[in-house]
Formats: sequence, C-alpha cells, structure tokens
Amino acid sequence: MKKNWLRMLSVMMCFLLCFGLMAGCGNGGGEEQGDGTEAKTELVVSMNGDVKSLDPMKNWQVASYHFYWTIYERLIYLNEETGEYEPELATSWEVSEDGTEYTFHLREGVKWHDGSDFGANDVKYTIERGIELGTGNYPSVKSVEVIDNLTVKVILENANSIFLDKQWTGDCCVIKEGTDEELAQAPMGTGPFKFVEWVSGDHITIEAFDEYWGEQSGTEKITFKIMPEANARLMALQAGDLDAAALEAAGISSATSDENLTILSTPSIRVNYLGFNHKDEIMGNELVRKAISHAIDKEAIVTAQLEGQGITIKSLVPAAKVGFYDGFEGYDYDVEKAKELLAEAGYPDGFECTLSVSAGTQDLCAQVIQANLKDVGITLTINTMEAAAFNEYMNSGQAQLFVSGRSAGQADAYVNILHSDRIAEGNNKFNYSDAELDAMIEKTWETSGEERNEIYADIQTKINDEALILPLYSNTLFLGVQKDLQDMKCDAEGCHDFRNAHF
Amino acid sequence: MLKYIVKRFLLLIPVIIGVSALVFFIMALAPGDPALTIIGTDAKPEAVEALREELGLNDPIIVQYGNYMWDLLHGDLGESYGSGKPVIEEYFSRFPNTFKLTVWSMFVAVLIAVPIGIISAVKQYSLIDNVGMVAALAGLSIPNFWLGLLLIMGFALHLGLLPSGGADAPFATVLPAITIGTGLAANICRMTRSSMLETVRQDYIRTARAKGVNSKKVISKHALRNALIPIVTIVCMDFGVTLAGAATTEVVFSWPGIGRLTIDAINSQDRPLAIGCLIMTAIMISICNTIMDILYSVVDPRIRLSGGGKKS
Repeated sequence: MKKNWLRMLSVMMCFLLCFGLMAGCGNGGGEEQGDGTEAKTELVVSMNGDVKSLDPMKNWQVASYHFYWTIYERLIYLNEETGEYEPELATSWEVSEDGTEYTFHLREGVKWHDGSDFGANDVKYTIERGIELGTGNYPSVKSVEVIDNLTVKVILENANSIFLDKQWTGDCCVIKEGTDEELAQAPMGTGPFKFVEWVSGDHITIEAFDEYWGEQSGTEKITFKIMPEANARLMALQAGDLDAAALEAAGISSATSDENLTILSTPSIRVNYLGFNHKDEIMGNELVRKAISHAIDKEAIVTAQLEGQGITIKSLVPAAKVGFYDGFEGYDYDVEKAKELLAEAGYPDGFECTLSVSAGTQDLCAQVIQANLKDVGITLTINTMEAAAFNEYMNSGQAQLFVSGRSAGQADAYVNILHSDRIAEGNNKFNYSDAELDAMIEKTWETSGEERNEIYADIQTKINDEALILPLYSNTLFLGVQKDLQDMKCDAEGCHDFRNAHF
Repeated sequence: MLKYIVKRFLLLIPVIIGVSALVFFIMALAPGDPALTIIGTDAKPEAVEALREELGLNDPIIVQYGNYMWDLLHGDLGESYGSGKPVIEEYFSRFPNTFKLTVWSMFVAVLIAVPIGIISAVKQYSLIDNVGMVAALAGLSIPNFWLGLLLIMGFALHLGLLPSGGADAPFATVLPAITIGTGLAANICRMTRSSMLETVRQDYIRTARAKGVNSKKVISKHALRNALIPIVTIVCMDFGVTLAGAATTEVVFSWPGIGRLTIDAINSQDRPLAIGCLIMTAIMISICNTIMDILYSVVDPRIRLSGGGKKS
C-alpha cells in the first residue's frame, strides 16, 4: 500500500520536474534573443492601453501618439526648448498681413511608405478630411488651394492664430491623398518608421523606413506591447522584457533604486481643478468660492492622491504651454481667512453641498477636500459616479462642485471652456457666462505672439481674482528606460518620442 | 446522441435571445452617451449628433434592439464602435489566446487537484489531508491579481526564468496558467475529496477490498471511476467560465484575451462588441455543458443521452 503511494508521488514529482524544465527552456531561448546583436537595434516598449483605431483623425488617445509620431509627420513641430515652430514637412510658411492666408512650402523628395511621392495634394486632402471628420485641428479654414506640387495655401474665414498652433499637435498628422478607411487598420505616413502589424490587445510593430528623407536613429524595429497594469509594466522593465515603460507614482521608489534603469520625468500638462457651478445659489457667490479656495490644502491633495509625485498649481494653463502665467498671488491654505470670507458671504455656520467625482480617478482628492471644508464648517457630500455617468452629469451643468481635469494642445483650449458659447455644448460645465471674458477669449484668436500672451495672462488673472475655477494640481509623468537606451524623450502630454531612440 | 446534441443546440436560441435582450437593455439604459465616449467630450455638438444618427442611437431603444436582432438573425453581430472591425473578427482574434490559456489552466488545476483530492479522501484527517485542504482554502482565497504579481516577481524578475507577460514569448502561458489553475484547483480538489469520501464508504468498495483486490486497483478502478461525475461537472463548468475570459489575470499578464476585450468594450460603451462578446460567451458555456453531458455517458455507461434528456 505504502509503495503504491510512493509511486504516485514520484509520478507527480516527474510532472512537476517536466514543468520546471519547460520553464528553464523558456529562459534559455529568451536570453539568447536578448543577447544577440540583432536585439540591439530592436526596441520593445509598452503602451498603457489598447488602441481602438490607428487612424489619427479618429483616435485621440494619448497612447496612440507614441506610434503616430514614428509613422506620421506634421507640417511643423514645436521646439520645446526655444518655444519656436520648426519645419517638418513644411520647410517654410508665410502668413498674410490680415492673418487669413497661410502659405506652406513643402519639403521636396519626401516619400510615402508605399514609395510614392509626397505633395501639396496630400496636404489639401488631409485638411479637408480633418474638417469633414470634425477633428477640430483646422479651425476657421474656408478652403485649401494647391498652388503647385510643393506649395499649398490655406484660406481662413477670419484671422485665427490657433490654426498654426494646432498644426504641431500629436494627432495633426499628414495623411496620403485617397487613404481613408484603411488607415484604421494599416496606417501609412512619411515618418522614419513604417507600420508592420497590429495584433489587437497585444502589440503593434513598426520598422525603419529605408527611404526616409531625414536622419534615422539606427533602430530597426519597435514593438509596442499593450500592458495596462502599472505594476506588471514596472516588473517587465526591471526584468529586461521592456526597454521603456510609463510608470506610476507608486512604483517610482522601486524603479529609482534599480541601477539598470533611468527615470525620465516631466510635469504633466493635465491640470486638475475644482469646478464651481456658477448658476448655483451658493457657488455663484464669489466670496464663497474664495473661502473654499483658501480652505483647501493643495499640498495634502498631492500627498494623498499622487504620493507626493506632483505639483500644486495656481493657473489653469500648465507651465509647459505658451501663454502660461502665474504672476498673481493665488489662494494659500488659510483656514481663518476662509472662515472670515464665509462669514462675510453670509454663511458663518457653513452650509451643505455636494462634490461630484469620477470613480477611481480623484477619490482621494475628494476626501481631502471634504476634510478641509469640514474644518471651516462646510459639510460636503461626495457623489462618486462611474466615468461615463459622471461626464454626462457634469456636461449637463447640474454638478454643484466637481473635480475634473483637462489636458489639451494649446493655452486657448484651457481657457475657452469658460466661454459662454460653450455652455450649450456641455463644455462650459461651470455655467459661467461673462461678456468681458468672452471678448478676451475671442481676442486671443485674432492675435498672436506677445500680444496674445498678454491677453492670456489677463484671462488667467481674472480666473484667479474671481475664483472662477480653483486649479489644484498636476501630476508628474514618469518614463522608465533601460540605462543604455539613448535619446529617448517624454513630453508633458505623456507622449513618448521614440523617433531618435537607440541603444 | 445526435438528436440530443441537436436539441441542445436548438436550446441555444432562447439563451441567445435572453442574453442579448438583457445585455442590450442594461447597456442602453446605463448612463453615458456612446457617441460622446467615442468622439471625445470636446467634440462639437453637431459632430456628436451626426455620430449618434450614424450609429442609430437616436432611434427608440426597442427599434435599436429590433435592428440588432434582425442583423443577428443574419449572423451579423455588428461592428465595434471603436475599431470599426466586425465583432466576430474581434472575438475570434482573441479566442485562440483565451482557449490556450483555459486549456493550460485546467491542466494545471486537474494535475494539482485530483491527486491531492484522492489522497485527502483515502487518508482522511491525515497530515496530507489537512495540508491539502488548507492549501485548497488558500488557493480559493488568494486573489488572482496578487498571485499573478507575486509569480511575475519571483519567476520573471528575480529568477529570470519566464516572461513577465504577453502571449507571444515562449512559455508565456506558464505563469498565467498557474495563476488561474491554482484558483480552480481549490474547488476541484474539495469536490474530488468529498466525492471520493462518499464512494470509498460504499459497500462494493468494502467487498472489493474483502476480495483481496489490491488497494491501488480499488481506488483507481472502483472508487475513482464512480466518483468522477461530480469532478467532470465542476471541471467542465470551470472550463466554460474560464473561456469567458479571466479579466484580472489577463490585465496582470498583458494577455490579449476575451476577458479584457469584454471589460474594455463595456467601459468604452462599445455596445455591439460588449453584447457580441457576451453572446459568444453564452454559446461557449452551452457548448461546454453539452460536452459535459456527453462525457457523463462516457464516464458512466448507465447514463444514456436522448432527445428527451438524460435517462439512467
């Protein structure tokens, strides 16, 4: 009897041993690939979420920008160091005196990934398709004229400097004339890398385009692995299965202590704010808004919500954007002052109100605000809602107080959510309507350069002085890369620029 | 038997109607506008309205459901709002991964659970029984996401033996299969033990032992065979449920399976994809149940399958 059980146990041990051996075999194959010379020209990097479509005009997920920038090119790009626009597919451009005509001179000798030549017709097609699909990247455009094969003129209905600003944003990619539905599955551009395959939910692969007009990094192939779980990304990076991965605040201490990794960080352009409903009887009162602004401890929010990995902010426009201004005092955390302002507003004993928040995004932030407001006598109820329901509720203008965030291309997109025209659209969730502010926002569309920046400064000062919105914090974005990976960039939008990355 | 199988498949029709109606109305009545989710909250109202019209979202819900069912009748599950690909293509692009993971998970589960369950029953209240049952309880209690991360930390990060995620790398199935398999093993193990305990106390086992049949033969031939029905039931049911996708494990191991596809579709309000995935899941579970019934007759020849149901 005993012998039989021993036999059974030994069979089980054999099975386990086989399993272990299989595991060992896996390791050998993996290492051989990793150590080969070929691997040095191949990058494996992560994407935080699955993409729905590869068509740049139909999909605006930031995750998709990682490969848009490698496959496609734009007319111009913004040199983040100088703040100036520089040539990409357009070598130069002129603006007519009245600001309604933009003439772009295009680069010669540029090839599409199918080997055909790039020209003015492609730019015309891109802009017209963009307008038809309502991408918002071509504001005020009336028509596009092809002057010759390498010159294209864009005519605007009225002067709108935002048009040029839009041309360098992540999804403003130039596409080939005639391409349409196929872009969703097989994108084609003029960039340094061409599309190879997309396995839904698993990975996207691109490879170097031999006929690219510019300099190439030497990297031959990039695989974007779709990895939604932050801890799994960190461990894959530490195990060497990934060459670059976006990390979250919770994993940073572990990543920084790993000597094989370099951590790149930048403050995000996402501005998180406390929104007030200006039509609400209580929140419509400027003194109440100021009292709440003084009652909130933004540092405590950064500590609780982001484990300290972020910055507190005073302005609605992020520091990385042209037009940013924070030369005003802002609202310090001052409980006594808040109480005084509440008493002055006619609420010496506080009041009851409701704060709406999207589940799983700003919960801790909402709890800090609740505790802070309790200290000044305000009883806050937190209304946590599922993301889609929260958006619908917020857009309907019913939320009394809400925590939300915004990340956008230009300064304009941050401040124009207060324009009264946008109440009906659901974008002005604050129900704020003021002819003076509307006029200031409209003026920014007709001006450019320093003149426009001054107006932006005035708008941001007005938002602060009247406590129209309370900007709270911006998180820090982290990109972990293997130590010997060079020339890797991570921008404030969370876009990882792999165009020049190489070992 | 053929008649029985045909009947089982005909029964799928009311199941599909029920599942599709339930999911369709729940998703249609849930707050949030799919058009707004697709196009982004910054879009112009005209663009949102145009998209709503294009997707048929402005029709009354009952008309939308009618249109959906009419397409379904023609074998068309529609196209995903997000990718624009046919739902059936999206589903079957992920199905091989989920099937592979399910098969290996069940292999791990059965390999662990059945021997431990048998030993626990034969040696009731022995050390091995107690350890086995505590391990089964632990297997049930440990959340998959935590076990998955621990396994990645141990086998991928520290030992460097196995890949940390994805479905392409060699042996990428091992860690997720162990993660799911250990959870499933716990249930199967307890079921094997109780079923075996009941069988080994039967008179015919005592008779076999009294006749002098050796212990191994008594357990494997007389006891186990008769204890198999509940084990087959739970294995087949677990197989069907795992085929629906193991979203948590798939997220941890970046495994492109049905679970992630379904959850992502629900979160992004991709109605055709979500409903399509759930209908396909209902079909898969029905197929597993049919296979289970066929296996009953293989395991226990007294069970006959007929169009009228099971007869013993």
